[in-house]
Amino acid sequence: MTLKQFLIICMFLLIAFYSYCLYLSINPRVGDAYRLYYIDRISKSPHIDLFSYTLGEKALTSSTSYGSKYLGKGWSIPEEMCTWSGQKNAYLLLAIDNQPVTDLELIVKVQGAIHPKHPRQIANIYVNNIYMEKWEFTSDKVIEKRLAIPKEILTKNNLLIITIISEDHISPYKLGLSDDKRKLGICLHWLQINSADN
Amino acid sequence: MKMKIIRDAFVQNWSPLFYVLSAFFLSRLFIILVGYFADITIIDKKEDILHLFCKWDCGWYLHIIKDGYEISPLRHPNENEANWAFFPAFPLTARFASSIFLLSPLAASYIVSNIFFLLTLILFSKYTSLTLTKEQTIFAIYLFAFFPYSFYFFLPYTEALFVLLLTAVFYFATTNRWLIAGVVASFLSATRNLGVFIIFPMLIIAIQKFGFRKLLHLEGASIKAAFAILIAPLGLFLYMFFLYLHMGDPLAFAHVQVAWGRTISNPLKHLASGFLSFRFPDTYLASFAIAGILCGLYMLKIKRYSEGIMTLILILIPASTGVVSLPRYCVIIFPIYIYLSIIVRTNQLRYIIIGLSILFNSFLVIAWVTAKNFMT
Repeated sequence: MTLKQFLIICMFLLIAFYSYCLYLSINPRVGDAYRLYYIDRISKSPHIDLFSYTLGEKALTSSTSYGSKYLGKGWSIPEEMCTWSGQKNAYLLLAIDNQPVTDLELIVKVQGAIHPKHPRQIANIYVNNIYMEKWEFTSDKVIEKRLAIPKEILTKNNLLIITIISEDHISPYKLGLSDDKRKLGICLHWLQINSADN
Repeated sequence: MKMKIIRDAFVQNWSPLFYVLSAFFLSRLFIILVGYFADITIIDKKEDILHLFCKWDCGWYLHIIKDGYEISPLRHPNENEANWAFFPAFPLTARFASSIFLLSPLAASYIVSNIFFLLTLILFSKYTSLTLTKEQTIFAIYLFAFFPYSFYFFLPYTEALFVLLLTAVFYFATTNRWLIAGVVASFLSATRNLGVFIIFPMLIIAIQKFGFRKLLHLEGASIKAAFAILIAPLGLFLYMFFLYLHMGDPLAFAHVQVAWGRTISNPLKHLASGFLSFRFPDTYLASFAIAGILCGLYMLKIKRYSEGIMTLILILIPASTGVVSLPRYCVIIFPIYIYLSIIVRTNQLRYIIIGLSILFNSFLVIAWVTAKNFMT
């Protein structure tokens, strides 16, 4: 075997090894918590036990309540009554601690960033990357929204990633109300997930 | 007049090794003395020299040398930072030296760093002598050893190993020893995430030597160059494979950056906003990188393409995550010392630059041992 032949064989082996490593990079062997924090970068912690949720639990998302642990990236600092989404995409992360046997229902108390100069607010809701529905706000009152979640779309680890994409989020600064430059979408007061048959 | 005769005699009968050794030992002595001075006058802790200089990332490297890589990020208070961000070549060599010579991991890591830097100066003198005059080479050697932030080559950090391997790749590729260049480059890609980008200057050198067509068809000796370029990323891919086996994510070294709040965006935007903030340390840190970029562009202008491209890569990629640590990223760019040697033409100016470098470096060493935040 000549040096040239040897080097060509080595080059093929290197390309094969590099390709295999790239394949492994696209398919890492990691848990949900790791993926959400380090790869997708939508959670605030790499530890899944921080967002473990029991069905039926009413989670308040104000500054004095523990429910803010379910808030992923895209939310502002929790306030006295609720927490505002401060970016176009805001995530809710819930790891349901028991395997649901029926479909689920999400109930939330929310309000939109509504003002006479900004009379309408739209939020598109996705659950585990599947589009569910559009929420429309036309008043600044706190309202209840309900969303049916088929149990089939839960991951094998019973993870729910609820993505709220605000279409026309706006800052109080732009409305001339204050110096607050955060682009506000919806303010979440509390959330609850029940079995659909309850 | 007498001084000039003595200096000319030195330069004419020069031995590169003399200049390398004097620059190396004087710079080590200078760093230790300044550090010791800061210790007894400012800190007043009377720490031993090894611990005195072991700041910031030094702890991460020691952790890898002693305990290896983590499986999960549990060590940090927020439980999100992990040592996967730190590439294995330096901790592995330090660990090897520690076990062979029965030294503490800290002592071994200082020793290997300084041996690496001595070897760097030797290779650098050989590389610069290929294209520069004797006087320019001597100036470049001293500049390398005393340049602001050059104390990083004394520390248990990856800088000394990285710059050694970087210089070696350029030297061996330029002198047509492609197989050695390729093997060295593969170690470079296991030293830091930036190491893998050595393939671009290697490609430029190969095209300059063989032509694009010959390289593409693997004609004649160009096959060795092609092999060298292809084997260069092996260190990175081996580390990725190790990470997959160890903790499941081959890209953990990149993904874990989120724990330090680092996200990638336009480097020019970072540099412009940092520089124009007119606030310390952002303006200061960005100005180092901007000076480095100008140097890289000048290298391109004088057709030293491989050095110019590597300079730009080594600045712009770190700048894509912000201006923090940019001077540290600049100090490893050896083409900067070549650039300064080319543009500085009088001996008076050379002495002034070396003097100012020593003065500036003194402040930086003091800032380092007193753990000032802008030195991270």
